[in-house]
Amino acid sequence: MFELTIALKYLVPRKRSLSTTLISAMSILVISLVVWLVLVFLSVTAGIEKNWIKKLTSLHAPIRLSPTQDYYNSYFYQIDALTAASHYTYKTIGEKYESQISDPFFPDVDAELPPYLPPADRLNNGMIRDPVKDAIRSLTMLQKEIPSLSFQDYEIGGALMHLFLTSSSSSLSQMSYLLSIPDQNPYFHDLCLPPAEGPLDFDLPPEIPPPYIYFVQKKLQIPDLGPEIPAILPKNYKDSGAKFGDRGTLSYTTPSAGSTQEQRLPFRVAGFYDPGILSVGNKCILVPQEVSRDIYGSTQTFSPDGTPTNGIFVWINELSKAEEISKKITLLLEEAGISSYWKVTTYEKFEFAKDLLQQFRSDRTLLLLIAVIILMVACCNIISLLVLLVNDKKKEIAILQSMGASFKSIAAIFGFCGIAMGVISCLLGSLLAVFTLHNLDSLVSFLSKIQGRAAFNPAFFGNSLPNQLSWEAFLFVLIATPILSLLAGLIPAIKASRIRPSSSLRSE
Amino acid sequence: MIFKAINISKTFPFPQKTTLFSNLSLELEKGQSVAITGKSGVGKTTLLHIFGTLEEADSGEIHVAGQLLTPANGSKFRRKNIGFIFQSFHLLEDFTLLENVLMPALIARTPKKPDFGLHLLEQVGLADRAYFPAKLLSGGEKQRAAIARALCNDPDLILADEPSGNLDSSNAEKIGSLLLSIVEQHKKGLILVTHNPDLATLCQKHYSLAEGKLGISL
Repeated sequence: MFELTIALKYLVPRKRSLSTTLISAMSILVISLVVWLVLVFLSVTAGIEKNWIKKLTSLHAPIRLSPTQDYYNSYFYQIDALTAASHYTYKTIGEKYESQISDPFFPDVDAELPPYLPPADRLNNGMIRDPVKDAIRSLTMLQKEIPSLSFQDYEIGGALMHLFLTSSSSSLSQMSYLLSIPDQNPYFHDLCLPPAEGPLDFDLPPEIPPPYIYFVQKKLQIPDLGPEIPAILPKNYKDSGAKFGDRGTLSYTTPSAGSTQEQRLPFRVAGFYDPGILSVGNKCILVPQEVSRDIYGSTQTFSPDGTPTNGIFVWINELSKAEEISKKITLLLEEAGISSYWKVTTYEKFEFAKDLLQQFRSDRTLLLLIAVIILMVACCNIISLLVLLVNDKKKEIAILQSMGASFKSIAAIFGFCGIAMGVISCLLGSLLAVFTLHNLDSLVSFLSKIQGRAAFNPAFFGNSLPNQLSWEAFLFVLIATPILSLLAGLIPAIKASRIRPSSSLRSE
Repeated sequence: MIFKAINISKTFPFPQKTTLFSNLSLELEKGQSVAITGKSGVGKTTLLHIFGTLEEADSGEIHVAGQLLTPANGSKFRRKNIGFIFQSFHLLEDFTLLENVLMPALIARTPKKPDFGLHLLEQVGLADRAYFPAKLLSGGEKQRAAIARALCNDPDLILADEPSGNLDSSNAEKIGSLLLSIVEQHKKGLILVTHNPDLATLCQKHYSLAEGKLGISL
């Protein structure tokens, strides 16, 4: 292609055309700097967003199955409060799953059922439909297809916590939420803070088990503390002086025949965890599942952030597939005929995360828009450079036309020049961005030193800024820069193609 | 008939309405050379540019190799059927002589091997300058290279605008002889616009452009 040959010749800097060379170098430099800035900024913000989403979904799984009102109104749920086999108490999802029988009503033992009780949802064979066991069965089936998937039922209860701090010989009290320890959560290990008293991880089960939570080959081990409950507290308690082994009680009330009765459960601090970004995170104590079930069954607790107090968490290793997997789960629940009993929600629609994630999305759109505008302004340099080049090369354009070069070919030469400048700038800017991201920590500490305080607050951004190049951002500049450069090159290209060869060739 | 111009008219409306020529016709057989002379400003170069579709006529028709030239197909004919030689040589200064000579083939999307370019340069006595940048050559050498370039796509017609205008008399004579011998050797049609009466007389036909009409020059 002769157009490319000519364009490359025009792009090579020459002493003879110093002004064109200088403007060309300036244009490339400006676009490179903009590409660099856009890439670094988008990469860091994408990294921060990823970290926040990870924090949002580490404890609270990215997919959640919560019982619907249909479930709570159903015979399946209501019957437990009316039957002796269920001790006349409602059952949690976990208890329902572990129950040997789906229908605890025995006419010989139990009283006649009240007329307000809805009819049981029965299968064709007359057996009662069990939405819990069917849901767990569906998830187990899906687990065979997606081995990285894991799930666990959870309960959120409420209790008043009294904690005695040995470090300061003082005590503190706080109303707390009790969440069952997510021992099936594959990411729970990353949330646990390492104890000062010994290692968190073991390759083999230790001969003398430590009195705190630990992991054997990444599998959570909860210590047996006798009558005391092992409790895992959020990390802010550690910051307040709580230590491993500190003792306390959890108080809650249970209804009795005539009044309510206070129950006190002794506990010992067996670990600390990072609750991530949960509105109730700092008040959320992790306790063994049987404890959270008991308390859940005794007290009516509601979560202020709108999280259902009983449900099933589903963890996956690729957050981007959350929506796809949630659809699969819904389909399986539909096939099992229990979809009306369950609401499948992905992390993007969680009550406590929805606004934050929407804000992230809006910010990302806004940032991309700003990036496009900055790139457009930078690419405008190409217009001025190429107009100058066209004026400089008028005679050569006419010579090419006399040899038969068409208008399209002439326009293509300057279009190529525009794209080439865009691509060169894009590559140069990307290299700069990779280098900057690689040395981001040094840059941040340098900025902090200049300012005399932390340039980025660790509370918001973590101990170090994310320094992974965002492939989305790279793809964006890789596509946007050459396109904008081409568009910028079009104006000079059209100008070049309109040159009248006759007048240019005789202008000497 | 390799070239036929019928009733060509051209008027410049600005700054003052000036009719350069009206209803001017010219025919050229294959291998025939025609010289057009005339005073400065009579429109010789404009006429040559119109013949080569670098400029549009107000009216009239031009046929090259039996086909009518239009603004739409002008560039195609310039690529395949017409070779230009200019008074100011008009080589691409940043390219070597060889690249210059082979450029028309590249533009016509029929790239030719360097050997072909070297052969053309050899015919004009510039084979040893093939890899020199055009800007380093003398005027005479540049014009010889321009002749070689005009032959690259084996055109039917060569249009030469004052090929010896910027050369000294010795070089002008050499270039004139070379051009005519090559045209004769390759059986090309040649329309030559010149002030040089000696060069004009070397052509088979010699017209004089005056008051917008082409007349046979004696």
